[in-house]
Formats: sequence, structure tokens, C-alpha cells
Amino acid sequence: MSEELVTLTIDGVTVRTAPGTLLVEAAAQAGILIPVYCYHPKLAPVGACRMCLVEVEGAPKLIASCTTPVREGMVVYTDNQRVRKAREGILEFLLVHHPLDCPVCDKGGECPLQDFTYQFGPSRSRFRYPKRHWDKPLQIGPNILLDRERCIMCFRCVRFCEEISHHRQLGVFQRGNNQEIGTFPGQPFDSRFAGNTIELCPVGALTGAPTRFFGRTWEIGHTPSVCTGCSTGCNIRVDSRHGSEVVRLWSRENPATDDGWLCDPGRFGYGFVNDGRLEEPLVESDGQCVPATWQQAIARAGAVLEQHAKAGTLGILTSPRMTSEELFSVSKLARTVLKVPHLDHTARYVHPAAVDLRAFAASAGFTPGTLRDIQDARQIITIGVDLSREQPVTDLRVKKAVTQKGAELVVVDAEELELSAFARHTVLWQPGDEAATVMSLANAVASPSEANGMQAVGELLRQEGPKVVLLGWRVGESPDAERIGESLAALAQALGPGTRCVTILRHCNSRGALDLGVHPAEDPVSGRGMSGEEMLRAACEGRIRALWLLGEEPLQDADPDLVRRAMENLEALVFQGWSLPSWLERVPDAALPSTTFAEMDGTFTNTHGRVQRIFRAIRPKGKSRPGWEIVNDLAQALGHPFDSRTVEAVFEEMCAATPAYRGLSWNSLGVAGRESQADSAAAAPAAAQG
Amino acid sequence: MFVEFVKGLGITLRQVFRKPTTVNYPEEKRPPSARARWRHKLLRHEDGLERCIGCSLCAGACPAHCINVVAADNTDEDRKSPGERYAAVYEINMLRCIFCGYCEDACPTGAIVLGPDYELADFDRASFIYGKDRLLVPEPGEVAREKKRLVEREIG
Ligand code: SF4
Ligand code: SF4
Ligand code: SF4
Ligand code: SF4
Ligand code: FES
Repeated sequence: MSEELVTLTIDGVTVRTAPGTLLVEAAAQAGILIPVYCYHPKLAPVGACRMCLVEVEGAPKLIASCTTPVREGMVVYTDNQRVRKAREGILEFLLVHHPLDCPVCDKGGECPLQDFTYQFGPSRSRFRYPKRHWDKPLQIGPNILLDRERCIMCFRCVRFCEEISHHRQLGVFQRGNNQEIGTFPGQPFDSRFAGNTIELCPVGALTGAPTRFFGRTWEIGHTPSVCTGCSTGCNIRVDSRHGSEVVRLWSRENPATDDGWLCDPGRFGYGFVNDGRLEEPLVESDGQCVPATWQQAIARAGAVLEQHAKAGTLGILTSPRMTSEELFSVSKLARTVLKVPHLDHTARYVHPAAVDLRAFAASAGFTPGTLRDIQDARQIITIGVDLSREQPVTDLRVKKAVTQKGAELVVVDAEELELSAFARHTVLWQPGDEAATVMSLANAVASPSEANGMQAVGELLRQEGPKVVLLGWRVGESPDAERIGESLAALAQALGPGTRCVTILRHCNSRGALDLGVHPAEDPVSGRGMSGEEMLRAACEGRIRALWLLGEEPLQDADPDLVRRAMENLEALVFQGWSLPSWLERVPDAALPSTTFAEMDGTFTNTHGRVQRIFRAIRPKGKSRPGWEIVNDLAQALGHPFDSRTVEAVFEEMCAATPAYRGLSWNSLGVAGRESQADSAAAAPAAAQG
Repeated sequence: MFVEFVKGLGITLRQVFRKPTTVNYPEEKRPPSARARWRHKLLRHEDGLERCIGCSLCAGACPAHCINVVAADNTDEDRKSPGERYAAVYEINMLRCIFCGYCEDACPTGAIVLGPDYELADFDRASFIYGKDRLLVPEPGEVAREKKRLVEREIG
């Protein structure tokens, strides 16, 4: 890999760079700005806008630096008379029909067309004719508005749809003066990655419908954070106005998790932060919820917890969308103060043994992998996971590996998935037959003679090269967990020892909940407590009489009838979360308002174990407080005050107490996060089964 | 010494018989200068539509950070201003305003102007936050008057 570097001169600066580097990139490495519109590092170069013209000695005409690779000895000028004149000309052309309605344009203030016009453009236009006008804005999809007058025809949006999302829903129509971007008849731009084109569009031609007129860009505060939509852990930038409202989420590239993209459900799914919040503590009085002070609510909640913990009738159900610090505090209170074994988080699988998918994978003999491993894999196998829906941004990673790096994909699932279109083979299982199917796949890989019908897949997976298995929750739903365990072990064996496995969990902190032992299998004192579902059944039978429910979604997936009966039977309910869930028909004894991700500091652990920080972007709504603070108050009320009084202290305490997080420190996380110990998954199985 | 005394007294005597420059405010009022920059107004177009498009440029220019604009979409059924966008909320905190007129300079549509009304006293702080209800002029006629005044201001 020791390639010779190429040496060239740009504006008198000597630059040494790898062969194949584009001129525009080489200039950037030397700190020289070349204005671009159509060039984007993640899209194939097209040379459409001509903004990046530079002069190269020996070339008769100016050339586009975004399509020209470096050559040994090249002498390039990016800022001489000729180049400046060309830039001015290009900008004048781009502005011929441009409406320049910057005051009402969502891009205003962060618009390269504004910036470059100030920097390089002419101060006035010589165009003396009426500008071309079009209806605007056009709603071309549920989330996207198009203003064709502002479009500068850089094709970034169309290229994104063709090269990255592979949802070909945008096209270029007409020619010349009438050229426009548009959708195809009867096909709205409803791709779940559509929102990325808002970011890619260098002007205000594509804007977000949900974020329309969010405020002006200079009024907006930017805070690094992590998406709570799924377990990928995509890094985001939270844009907030007046420190009181989240107005937009933007991508914040982290090669370890998101590779620079977001999905629309994640990007636009921040409504719960601003609306419908539980803003003050409530306590029950005469069958009604009435506002109370924090002291009253804590006292009431503490009394319920204490009474039922003593009687052994308390269950605690947490949410995997809480931060690790919150989960840690709850679990500490449960284990050391309340001494309750019945502690669980939701998004559970049918089989208790499969709860901890990652332990499952590790015990099968796979090496724990990371999402980043996908991009270097030669063979990718997804088992029981529909990435396109469950982890959309990882779906983009897989598509990239297949289409740009030539990786081979095998999909193993109950039905054809969207990704099957990119797969060399799709292996289908009948529900109930998961274990047998995975076993025959393993056999087919292990020996050609036992392939029965899967020769081709076996052949493919026997090839050399790094392999990555992506294992999803549907495996854990298989009715016979033991046999699926055996089949996976056989598969791991057949694929070879280096095979990496990433388990695709469901929620943004599912992995954190597992790492922290927020499930019944891990209670050190009393052994196995009840799982969430068991708690509900026990509530129906009267064995669990009080529930401490944290978060909004814990019971969403459970059988609604079971939930209703359990809730009716409960004697007492303490709720803690950011809004009273609509499915909660019963009046809680105490409702404690906690903050959302946008209003607090903390960490989430993504599906492969990367610990990433979230930062407080806005003031807490109403009287809401971070969950760990509420738990601290409860501990105090119960007579066992906790020492950790800041989120940082809780984090440090958590790292000291959790094997997977040893060696991490609050300050070392930075804005990009750190991988937790890779061997943590390998260490876990014993605990999980014990 | 005596000469100086007489001189000084002379000045005093001269002033005593001069016409006073003060007026009996508030019974009597002086017309403010054409350039006076006091209480703001949000103007309308001749057809009655609001000039303000909710672009927040005034708020961006304001050195006292006393303007708050929240924009919303115009619809054909309920059109507030020409174009796509109007100000759903437009507030000025008159206690913080330093009457510099930068907002007027920054406005791309000539919507916000500072007028000659200087009588802004009030009894509680909250009432110094002027919303659209007090800033927006009721009818387009104001435009002609305001224009005339602005022209005078340019000349005067
Ligand atoms: S795209 Fe840029 S230049 Fe065009 S109207 Fe919007 S802010 Fe102004
Ligand atoms: S809509 Fe935006 S991204 Fe698409 S071609 Fe036009 S300017 Fe480029
Ligand atoms: S893939 Fe998941 S983490 Fe990433 S943006 Fe979408 S919902 Fe958020
Ligand atoms: S006059 Fe000056 S201080 Fe007052 S609102 Fe306008 S810009 Fe702000
Ligand atoms: S950036 Fe090079 S042609 Fe557009």
C-alpha cells in the first residue's frame, strides 16, 4: 500500500498528496479554498456547475478542479485574473433567474450562493429581462418542498438518490433555460432518506416541510447530540431557538456510526421534545391527577416504592431511550436501596435467553464487530433484521459496501426485504423454522456436499475476505432459542473465526441497558427477577401490586389487553417520563416529569457499543428534570442519599461499576464518543445466563 | 469688578424678557422634527397587505436584541402579506430599544419604521412589549402619510 505521493504546486504552495486525489481536494488539504457547488465528497464528481474552474499550466482552457485528478508536476492557479473572471461569470449566470428572495429563504445565512457571490461574484447583474418564474414552493414529498426558481442545477439531490439511497425518485427534466428538478409522475419523493437532500442542496431549493421557517440561521444555537430514533447512534446537531425550542436536527458526520447521513424518521422525529410534555409533577388526589411540588411528588413516589419494595410486590420497568446515567441510577436504587429483583427494560424478545442478543452472538463464537466493519467487508450476511426499516442509516452503509466496494450481500429472513434487491442471495425461512434454516446455511457453508439447495450461497460465503454478520431481533423471537443458539454457533464455525457480528438492537440505548444489567437475569443478590412481560402477568394475578414505570414506550409492544388488565389490577403506579403516554388509562399515584435528550447531558451506547455523549441544547421544559436527578431525590427520600451529584460523577461511578465501560472517562468521550471495551460482549454471556 | 457685575446682570436681564423656549407640556406640544425616531409602526401595502414578511432581518440588525419575530406560512385563503411568509409574532421590547433605527434600515420591504410618537410612558414592564396589535397600522392610509414624512425626513 506504499503508493508514491504526487507533488504539485497550487498557488505557489507545494502539495504532496495521494494519486487519484481530485484537485479540489488537494487544494483543500493545502488550505486553499476553491468554491464548489456540485462537488461533494460523498458523491461521484460530475462537473456540472463550473464553479470550481482553475487554471492549470499547459492546459489551453480553464478546467474543473472537481473532476480532475492530480498529476505529478502540475502547476495550478486558483486565484488569478482569468480564474476570478470566470467565477464572476459563472455566478452572474447562476443568478440570472435566481429570485434572490434571501429574506424569506430558509437557506439564508448559510447559503454558499450568498457567500460566494459576496466573495467572488459581480455586484450587479446585467440581465435586463424579466426573470423566469415558477410556482413555489412545490411539495414534492411528505417532508420536502422544492423551489425551482432557486435551483442552480448542481444535481446533488438527484445523485444522492441514485448513488446513495438508491431510491430513484428525483430526476432532471427539460433542457436549457427550462431545466428543472422534479419527481416522476405519480411518485412522490417519499424516500426515508429524502431529508438528506435538504442538507446537500447548496441553495434553498430543497427545504424541509416540517422545519419550514424555523427561524433565521443566525438565531439558531447548535448543540452536538445523538439521534434517539434507533440504535445506530447517528450523530446529530440539535438546532434550537432562544434556548427553548428544538427547531431542526442536522447531521454531524461520525464515520463510526452514521457515515454522514440521517434518516427522515430520525431527522424529523423531534416533535416530542417541544409538544405534549408533562411539565410539572402530578400526584393523585380523589382519582385525579393534580399538580404538586417536587417535594410532594417525590415523597408520594418514595412512599409507594418503599412500601411495595418491602412487600416484594414492586416491579420496575425502564425505557431503553433513557440515558445510561438515568438507567444506572434507577438500577442502583433498585439493587441497593429498594432491593427489588424485578427490574427490566423493554423492547424484549420472546425468549429470555435471547434478551441479550449480543451475548447470544458472542456465545455462538462470533467476534464482536462495529458498524464500521461493514464498509470493509467482502461478505455481509443479515439474519432476521430489516435494516431499511430498523436501522435505515446502516442500510445505506450496506448499500454503499455492495455498490461501491463490491461486497456480496446475503439476506436471511422470513420474506424478501428491500435490501434483497442488493443481495446476491436471499434465504427465506418459515416462521418457526429459523433455527433449521440457519443450520442448513451453516452446513452449506461448511461442506459443499451438504448444501441441499444452497450450493451457491455456500460457495459465496466460503470465499476469502472479511465477513460481517448483522443479527437482528427476529432471531431472538424464534420459539426455540436453544436450537437457534446451536445453529448460530455452527454458522460462526463455518464462516471462520474472524467473522464479525454486530447485533442490531432496537432503541437508542438498548445496548446501554444491557451493558448496565438493567434486566432481570443479572441481579447479584436475588438472582433472576421477573421480565417485563412476567411483571404484567404477575400484576394481573396480584403478585405485583405496584409498578414504577419509566419512559413512554415500555408497554407499547406488549399485548394491549394484558397491559390494560395489569394496569387495572395495580394498587399503585409511579410514572416517570416526558409525557403521560396515551395508552396509560390509569391515573398514576405520582407522575415525575423528566427531560428529553435535548434538555440534558448524558450518554447513549449504540448498538455495537460506542458510548456517545449528548449535550443539553435547551432549557428543561416546565419543571422537568433529568431522570438521574429525580432518582437521587428518591434515594434521599428513602434515607440512602447517593454521592454522585453531577451527571459527570454518575458517569464516572457507572464506568467504575460496569466492566464494559472501564477505562472511559467523561472528558475522553468528546463529541464523537468512544468504543466501549470490545471484549465486553465476550465477558457477558456467563452473567446473562447466570 | 463693578463693570463685570453690571455685564453679568445685563445678560440675566436680557434673558428675563426673552420669549421662553419651554412649553407647557402636556397641554401644549411641539411638533417633533421630521427626523424624529420614536415609536415603531409596521406599515401596510396600498392594498392592505402587511409589508412585513417575517424575515427577522430587523431582529438581526438590532443592537439591543429587542425584536422577536416568529414567521409562518401565508395561505391563499388567509393571506397576510405578499409572498410565502409573514410574521405571526412581531414583538419589540420598548424598554430595551435605543431608537437607533437600524431595524428600519435593515428591513427589505420598508415595513418597520420609527414614527414621531414619543409618548411611551406606561405603568408596568410587560406593557412595554409591543406586539403586532399595537405596531401594525390599522389601514393602508397610514402609508401615504408615513411616506410623506419619510420624504420630508430625507430632505429635512
Ligand atoms: S438560495 Fe441563497 S441566494 Fe438564493 S434566495 Fe436562498 S439564501 Fe438567497
Ligand atoms: S434542488 Fe438543490 S441539490 Fe438539487 S439540483 Fe437544484 S440546487 Fe442542486
Ligand atoms: S438511522 Fe436511527 S439513529 Fe440514524 S437517523 Fe435514523 S433513526 Fe436516527
Ligand atoms: S430602533 Fe434600534 S434598538 Fe430599537 S428596535 Fe430598532 S434596531 Fe432595535
Ligand atoms: S464543483 Fe466543479 S463543476 Fe461543480
